[in-house]
Amino acid sequence: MKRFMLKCVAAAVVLAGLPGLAGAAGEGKDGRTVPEVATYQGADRMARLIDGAKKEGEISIYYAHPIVKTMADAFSAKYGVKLKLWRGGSEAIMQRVMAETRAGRNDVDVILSTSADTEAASREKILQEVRSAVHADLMTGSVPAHRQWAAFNVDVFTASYNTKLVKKEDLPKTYQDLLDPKWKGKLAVEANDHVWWGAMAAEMGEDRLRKLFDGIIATNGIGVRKGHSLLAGMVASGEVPLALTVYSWNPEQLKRKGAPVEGLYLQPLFAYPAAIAMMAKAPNPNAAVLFYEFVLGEGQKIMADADYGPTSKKVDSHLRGVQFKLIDAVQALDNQDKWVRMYDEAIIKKAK
Amino acid sequence: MSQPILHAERSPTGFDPKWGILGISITVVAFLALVPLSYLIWQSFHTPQSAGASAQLTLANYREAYGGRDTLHLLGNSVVFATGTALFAFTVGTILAWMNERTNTPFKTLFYALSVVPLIIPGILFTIAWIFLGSPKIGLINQLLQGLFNTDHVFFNIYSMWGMIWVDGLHYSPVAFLIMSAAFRSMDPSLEESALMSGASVGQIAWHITFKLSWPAVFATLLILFIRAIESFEVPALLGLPVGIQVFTSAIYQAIHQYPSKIGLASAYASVLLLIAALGIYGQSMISRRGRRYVTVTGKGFRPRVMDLGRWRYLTAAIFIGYFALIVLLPFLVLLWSSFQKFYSVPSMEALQNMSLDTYRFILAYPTFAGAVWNSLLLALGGATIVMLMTSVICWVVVKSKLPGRWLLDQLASLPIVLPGLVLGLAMMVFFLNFSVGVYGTIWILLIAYVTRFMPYGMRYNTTSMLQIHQELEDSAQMSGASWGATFWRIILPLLKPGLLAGWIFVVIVSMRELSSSILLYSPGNEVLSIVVWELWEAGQFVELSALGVMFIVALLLLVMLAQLLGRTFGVKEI
Repeated sequence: MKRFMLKCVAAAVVLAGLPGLAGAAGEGKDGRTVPEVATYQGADRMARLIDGAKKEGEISIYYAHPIVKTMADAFSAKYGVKLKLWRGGSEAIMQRVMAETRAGRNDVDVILSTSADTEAASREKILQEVRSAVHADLMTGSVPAHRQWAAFNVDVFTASYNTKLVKKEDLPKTYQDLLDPKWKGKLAVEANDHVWWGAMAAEMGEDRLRKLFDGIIATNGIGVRKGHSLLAGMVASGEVPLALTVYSWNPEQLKRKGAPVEGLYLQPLFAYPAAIAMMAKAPNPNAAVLFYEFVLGEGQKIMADADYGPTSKKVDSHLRGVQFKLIDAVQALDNQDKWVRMYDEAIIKKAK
Repeated sequence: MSQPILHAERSPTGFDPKWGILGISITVVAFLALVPLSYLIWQSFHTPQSAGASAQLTLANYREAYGGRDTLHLLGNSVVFATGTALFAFTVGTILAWMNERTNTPFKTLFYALSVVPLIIPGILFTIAWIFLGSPKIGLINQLLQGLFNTDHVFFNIYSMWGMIWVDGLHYSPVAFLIMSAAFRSMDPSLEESALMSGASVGQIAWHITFKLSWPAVFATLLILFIRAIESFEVPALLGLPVGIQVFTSAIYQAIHQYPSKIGLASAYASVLLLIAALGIYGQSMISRRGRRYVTVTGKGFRPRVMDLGRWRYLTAAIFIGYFALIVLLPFLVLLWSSFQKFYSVPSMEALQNMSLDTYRFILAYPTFAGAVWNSLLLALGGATIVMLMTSVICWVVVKSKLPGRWLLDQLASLPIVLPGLVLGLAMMVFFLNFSVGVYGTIWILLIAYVTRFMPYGMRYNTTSMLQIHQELEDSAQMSGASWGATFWRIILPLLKPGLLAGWIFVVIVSMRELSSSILLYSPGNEVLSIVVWELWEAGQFVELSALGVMFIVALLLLVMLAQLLGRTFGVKEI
């Protein structure tokens, strides 16, 4: 009897796992499979996508960046596709997508998150490669070899200062200038910028970077704030005269509201890409690819107008002419533990 | 006489509905608690699952969590912070509660609603408001005092352990206020009166009679405050982190915010919190066991009478007014000021000219705002009602019955208090994804998560009031032929009312603010208010957030006043 019960339980467990397999050969409403839709490159590609998306009628998007909502609204207005939007932090997106996929629930078509998280999703084999001509318009390094995601935005780590508290002629020109005691009690960084630290360490050498910041902290101290928007807001309010790691769009957006802030580009500059990716089991593959095209095409202008960092070379933005390097998603993912520890030791624990 | 009253007298049909209600309540509580708790424990002993590797049994999480000295250091900081916060919040809340319930301080009914305002303000906003007041560089208090004494001395530095305790303690003083006023309300004044007759001073009475009789409430309050502070994240992140003070929860946060998420490591960290909470709850059950010492509501009728403070009542009124001016009004004014701005700037003539109502327009036009308000209201009111009614039954079992294993029920219903919100959300999500009963992706999963998350608070509020009710009231109802159901509905629940109402208000407020589980579990169309708050915060829209905060405070204040009014009008009259 006991063994019979055990068998029943085992059977139930197996059955519970089945739906995950059942959806493997997902097909769109036009009878084409997800890979067919995503990799088709015929001349009538756009026409077929638009036609297919109309039939599907809706699209489900998980995203982290607020600007995606604006792009999705424009997309919906243009193609008449209904939106199902879900916004969460990048880690919440991963948790939700992974839990849903493992349970065989395929609700989502497209995810937009940090490039490292999206690369992690790619390793989980839940993304679909997309072949698109639009890739050629993007800056170098925006599309990995497996083409399972593409960068649609760059967050460039920049400094920002309060124009009432810091005179233009006093501004530092290099990181070395920050050793000057006139910066005592005036500097701050963001609490989770280990990616920035890792990229800087790779560029300058770990020891040199550490020595430089040990010196800066010994002379001037360093404050830490949680969240780039908060840090940028603190610069505007005068709480932090000079912040070292806000995103380049933070001061641009605050300036528009009349805040006394400016961005300051201290070399070397690094940009953390945000990526768009299509799900391997997207329930609305045509709408998904169409949205992918839209975000990397027309959407780039929307992003530039809102002062974000478009990756398209065809679009002008506040970053035009600024020299920066893209942070490699694979590096960011593989070195995560190490970089977190380094940043913790060098900065977070020494904050004062 | 505390007789075991679980020997049911049968109804004519042969089935006592008591068992139905008890059975359902116990099953639901056990289910709600066991899903996330077993998930947490399972995770803590496994490696992360990924496409390349399935989860393996391991002790590595515990080794990593407790192997180094770092964790001990963080835990030390947390204990200092939580102890300070608990004591401070308790002192503030209890003094207010005592003045409100046991004295004839003028205008006190008005203060009941005002006392919960700090709790209503979303945590991040409350903290930010205090940064704008107490920062060494731009803090208004410092600037004012520096101008007054013509010095650049920093009078008040919010970025310190004391600053953290100050802000978090004030924020949660309403918890103490709510529990302690419930306890004080069911106080038999005859004891205080006899002391007064024997020549005791007001201070002596307050300490020797009122306070000591409320010992179960005191313990419950300190327990809740301590545990909540030790698992809190906002205040340490905004005030401690800038100056290098890290706490235990930062380790949990860091473990979760990576990929693959180290849920196992986070769970291993959380298990020490589980242990602390279990000990605390055990401590309270020891007190409950000697419950008869704290009984104040007996068959002997008593009239609610408060202490006449004489001329001292002007002093207590002054304390009230001072407290509200400094602690409630000041942060509120900071929010109000910044809600009229385009970005936060220190008050000045120049900034005065930039004032506008744009932020309010922005919030009202926010696409998901109306839906979020509606959903949050439904969840908060529904969740709070379910939590309070369900835990009142559970509390009856724990406090009044002699059912074997009732201590376990107490632990089960109370332990979810220390679950990190994200872990709770994940557990619910994984469970309802795999047992597809149509809950996932609907608003119901949020309701279930809220009930689980706030059930422990319902337990503490109800236990406190339950201990004050004498067995003889139930016994006489039964002797007069009342069924268990009728006794519970007509005797127990009305007598529990002070605790029920206080707990209900608390759960409504914290449900409105719940974010860490909601963010995983909400779905398109089921947005809640805290998600809107989070979105604004992430986008750096502090002034818009301030506008939302102002609206939040006004609306919830009205709601609390309404609940207070209803509580007075309906139900049994105050005995």
